[in-house]
Amino acid sequence: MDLFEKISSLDRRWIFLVIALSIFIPLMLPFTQPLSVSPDVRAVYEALAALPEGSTVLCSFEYGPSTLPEVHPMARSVLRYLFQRQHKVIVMALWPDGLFMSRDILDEVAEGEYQAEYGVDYINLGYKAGNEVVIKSIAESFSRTYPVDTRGQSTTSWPIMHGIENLANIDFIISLSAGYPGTVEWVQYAADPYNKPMTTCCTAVQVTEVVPYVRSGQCAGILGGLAGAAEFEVLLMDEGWLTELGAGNRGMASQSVAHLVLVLLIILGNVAFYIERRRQRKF
Amino acid sequence: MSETIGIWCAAFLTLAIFSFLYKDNPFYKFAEHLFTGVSAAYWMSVAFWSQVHPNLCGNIWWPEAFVRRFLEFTYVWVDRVELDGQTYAANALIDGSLTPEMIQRAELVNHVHVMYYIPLILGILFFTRLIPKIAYLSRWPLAFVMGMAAGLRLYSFLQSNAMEQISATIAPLAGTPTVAEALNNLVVLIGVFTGLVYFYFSREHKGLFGGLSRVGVYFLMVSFGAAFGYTVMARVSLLLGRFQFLIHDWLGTMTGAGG
Repeated sequence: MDLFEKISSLDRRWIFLVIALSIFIPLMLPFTQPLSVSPDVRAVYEALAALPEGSTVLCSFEYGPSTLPEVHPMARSVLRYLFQRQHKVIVMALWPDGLFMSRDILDEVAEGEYQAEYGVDYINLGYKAGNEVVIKSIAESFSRTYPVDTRGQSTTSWPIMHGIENLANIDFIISLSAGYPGTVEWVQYAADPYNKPMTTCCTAVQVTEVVPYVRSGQCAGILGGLAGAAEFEVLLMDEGWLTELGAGNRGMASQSVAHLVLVLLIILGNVAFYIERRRQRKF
Repeated sequence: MSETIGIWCAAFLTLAIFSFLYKDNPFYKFAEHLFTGVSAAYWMSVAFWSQVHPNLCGNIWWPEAFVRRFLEFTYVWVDRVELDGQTYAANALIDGSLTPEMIQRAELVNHVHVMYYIPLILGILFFTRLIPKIAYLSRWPLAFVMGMAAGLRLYSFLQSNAMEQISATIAPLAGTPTVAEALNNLVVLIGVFTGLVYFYFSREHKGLFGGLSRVGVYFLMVSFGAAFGYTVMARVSLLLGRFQFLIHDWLGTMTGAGG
């Protein structure tokens, strides 16, 4: 059995092991990969930077623990920027798990890092079932859709909600999305019909689905997957909003090595396949 | 302590799922069944407590004695509390701002909306599937859901996915700020046109038509490749997340550095 036959009949567990090592080893080494910021990531920053201080920004959490490693770093960076710019942040969730994700991030960033005051600087409206119907509903009224917040108090009793009747009073929408309902629904039911500017921080799987809305200008830029998170951190640091890179960049070296290994394996597999097919034709 | 136990449970279940990569085994089966069972219960619980309980139950009539008897459970059904000319929010019933004696005297105001009996009846009709003789009734709520979803989505799809996307596709080729942008617009136009030709099945794909269709296939392959690449990136990120958890959180509990 020659090398190419061996490759063709390789036990796939060896491939699993190689991938695992390609992620594990760079993770243990203390280096980060230099990154350049893509135009789509810069567009997200420019859209947020264009907002005057004290704007009201709606952040919708549409992801859960299964996509936490990808979306959490983006949520963290975006909220850090929003609180530094003194924006008012209204948080809601279209996924049940999104409620726990939002609590986790708000505890860390809003309360832990910026000592933001609940009900004044930010509010967590929580999860409401209904998918896109919830978006249509807040377009008419926040208080009817969310009579109480996650603390069980009347939504309208908090200062941050004074003057916020419906979507018309929101300056910008950020969708932290990992699927349905998510960015696509925000474009279809909020951004387009009500002419609201929005952007998205989504999983890599969603990028090809969302990019057409970015190209057409329906969505201002896109942070896609861990790479998007890492680039946004670099950009925030370049602009002086962050003092150190975060979780997005910590994983990028592993991500790049794993991609490289996968590309090599794909090339090797294809070469072995073609050589073996040519040999079979000869006989 | 409870957090450490949680981390150990999560680490055990992560390793149990990873063990499938070697071969199927009882640890993997255990983790898989546990996940399925907990997920089903979790979603059912979330659906009831976040939707049925506050929205439906809060808008239909209940005997006041029942509401008062189970206040911790039923207070969210109350719209407001009236007492001695003052109005309180419903959570005053459980947060200690009203004494038991005051609650006894208070009037619990609840808005009953007749409209909410329609989803209640339609929801109950779903369960008729369990009785073969009247199982056909379960089609009515299904028809309602399908009709509503189609109506709701039609307009949005037409605006966001058809009109806006067509408008973005017909981007100007001349007069763009840069040549690269003009080329980009041209590539988009060719990609959309040839992609549509590939999906036109009323004519045999031969000659010029076949050539255009083949170009469309190449564009489709590029888009599938991009989708696959992003999917790989996403899956590697998730694996990375698990590794970071195992290294920093789980091993951290042993070394005292994390957890």
